[in-house]
Amino acid sequence: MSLNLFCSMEDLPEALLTEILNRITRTSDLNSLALVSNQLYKIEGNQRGAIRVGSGLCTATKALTSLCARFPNLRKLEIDYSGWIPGHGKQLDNKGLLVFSSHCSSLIDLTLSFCSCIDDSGLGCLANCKKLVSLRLNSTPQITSIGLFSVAVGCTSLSALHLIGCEKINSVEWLEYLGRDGSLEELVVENCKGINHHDILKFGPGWMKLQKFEFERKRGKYDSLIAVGGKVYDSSYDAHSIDIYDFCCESLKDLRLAHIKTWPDVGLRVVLGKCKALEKLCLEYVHALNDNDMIALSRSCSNLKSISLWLNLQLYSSDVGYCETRTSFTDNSLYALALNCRMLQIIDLSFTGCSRDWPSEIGFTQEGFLVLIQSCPIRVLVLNNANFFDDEGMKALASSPHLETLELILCHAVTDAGMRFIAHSPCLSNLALRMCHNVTDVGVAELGRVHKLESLVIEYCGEISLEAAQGVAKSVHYSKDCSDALMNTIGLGAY
Amino acid sequence: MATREAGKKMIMLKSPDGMEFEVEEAVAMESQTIRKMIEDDCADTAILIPNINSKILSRVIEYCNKHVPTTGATGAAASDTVAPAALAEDLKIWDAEFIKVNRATRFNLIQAASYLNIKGLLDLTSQTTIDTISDNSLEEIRSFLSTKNDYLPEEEQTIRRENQWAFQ
Repeated sequence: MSLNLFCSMEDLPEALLTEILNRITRTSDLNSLALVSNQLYKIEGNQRGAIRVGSGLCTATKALTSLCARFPNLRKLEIDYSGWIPGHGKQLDNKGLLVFSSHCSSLIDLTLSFCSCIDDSGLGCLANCKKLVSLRLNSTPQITSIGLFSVAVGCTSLSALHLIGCEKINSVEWLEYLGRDGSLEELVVENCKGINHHDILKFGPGWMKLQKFEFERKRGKYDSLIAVGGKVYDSSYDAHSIDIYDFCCESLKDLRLAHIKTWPDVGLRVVLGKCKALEKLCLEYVHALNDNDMIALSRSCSNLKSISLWLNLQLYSSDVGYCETRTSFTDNSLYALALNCRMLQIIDLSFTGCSRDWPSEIGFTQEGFLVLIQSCPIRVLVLNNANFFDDEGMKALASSPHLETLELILCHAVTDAGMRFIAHSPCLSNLALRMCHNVTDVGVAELGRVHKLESLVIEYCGEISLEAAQGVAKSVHYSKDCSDALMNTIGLGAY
Repeated sequence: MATREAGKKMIMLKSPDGMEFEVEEAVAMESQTIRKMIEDDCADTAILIPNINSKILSRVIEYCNKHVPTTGATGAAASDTVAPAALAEDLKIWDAEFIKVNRATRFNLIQAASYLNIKGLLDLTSQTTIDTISDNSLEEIRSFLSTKNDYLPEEEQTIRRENQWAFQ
């Protein structure tokens, strides 16, 4: 048995060295390491799985080839030209992408962001990447449906596709192809003005395998949050009574629809009635929805764990001559969720543009809301501009046995009395108050007295001082001013 | 675990330079490698730990002694009064002191932690090593890793340039 005395890092067995180097996450550290010695250069290069390149990249074929040789096991590549100006030099073009696609045989994950020199023929060479599983195209202005079709045909392992801000894509043959012959599990389409939400229905049988789906319509410049554009929606219309589309979303777990208009074209609205396994639902300012959509969804998705409803004002009428301005859903939706979705843990409700002076603008009441809260194991609750919610609501909420995180934004009816109630909530550990001007230092002191909160966030609450907030929780984040993010949250940000 | 009632079962560990260490079974079982030997009944008399000299082995045992869960059969007294968070904080401070060793010892500890499969010790020694890579000059890194520069000046320059243009 010989004694090994290791005096240098390089004396360690290569497998162990690799294991140690695997812990390094910062690119600059990895790069420094490569400069240390030939051996570390090789080991580091062999195990580097991901790189991100962009402005400043030397696009000469020889340089790119040498880069690919340095990292033979690259699995993830991100080419990001955000913030690029002509002064940065030439952008990577089709030829450059060909170098990567032909040398990186292990590539499974590719992102192209703001690559203005890559067009369909560049995308076509991705057929070399037989292992490509995930492709993200973000603001790639030259790519059209033709390029996507070649990806659909060539990249047979593709299971995740994200299209964000791709202006030139205006037909969906590629999607029909993927629906028939592909194995897509994740599809995200955001801000692509050429793709209408009803086009996505052509995905047909592909819906069966899809697990995550997001669609966000590109909004116009004057596409205001308040949808009172003269259109009146029928509050009793049932988009799910007749099944005109022959597909089913059996595997869909995560669904997000944003800013789409589901009238007169029903389009993606039908998906709400076809889900069976949904766990997470986000509906952000979807036009023309009503209680029938939520009732249909809740009936078939008993496993729903998280729901976000970001609602704005729309015009509804159930009979001719009378119409009301309110948010899409009423207490009937809450009752349906309370009855059918007993696993709901995360609830995020936002009522953008609803006025305190007109309580009826919000279709929900405190009574309906509390029925839902009391029937499910709520863990995280976010209420934004929930005018109906007051100290009585806080009292009821305080007895939720699982509530860990509470965020109140613009909840004017919650006062110090509400804080006194919630301080006794058994599991509450994270509390955020934003723009809650009726909570004062007295209410915050209540929290400090009773509870040992993990974290407390106070943002732009005029009556709460920094002194009062300090020491109330292990971590306190206090801001006197209103951040841009908060402005966006309440619907007053720059869109 | 049959001897729990009878007190602490002891295990003999032998280093290749002939030293013997008697340690509590629970302490020895911080090493997944030794745990497996004990569970497979391969540990009747003494366990020979190859490749790890007595100096390093004694440090490893010192580490395991400190990290053996206090809620188990041994050393229960400590956890009765001290909150878990405070205990973790205490351990962190102890670890920081423990790892203040010279390079050769640290590399030997890495090797020992790997062979004996002691995750906490491997994490600690590896992290200490890679922490030095950040915020140090190339020469400092080379000295810290005890590595010689085997690049030709122009090779190093090429990689330096590539590092500059190739990453965001």
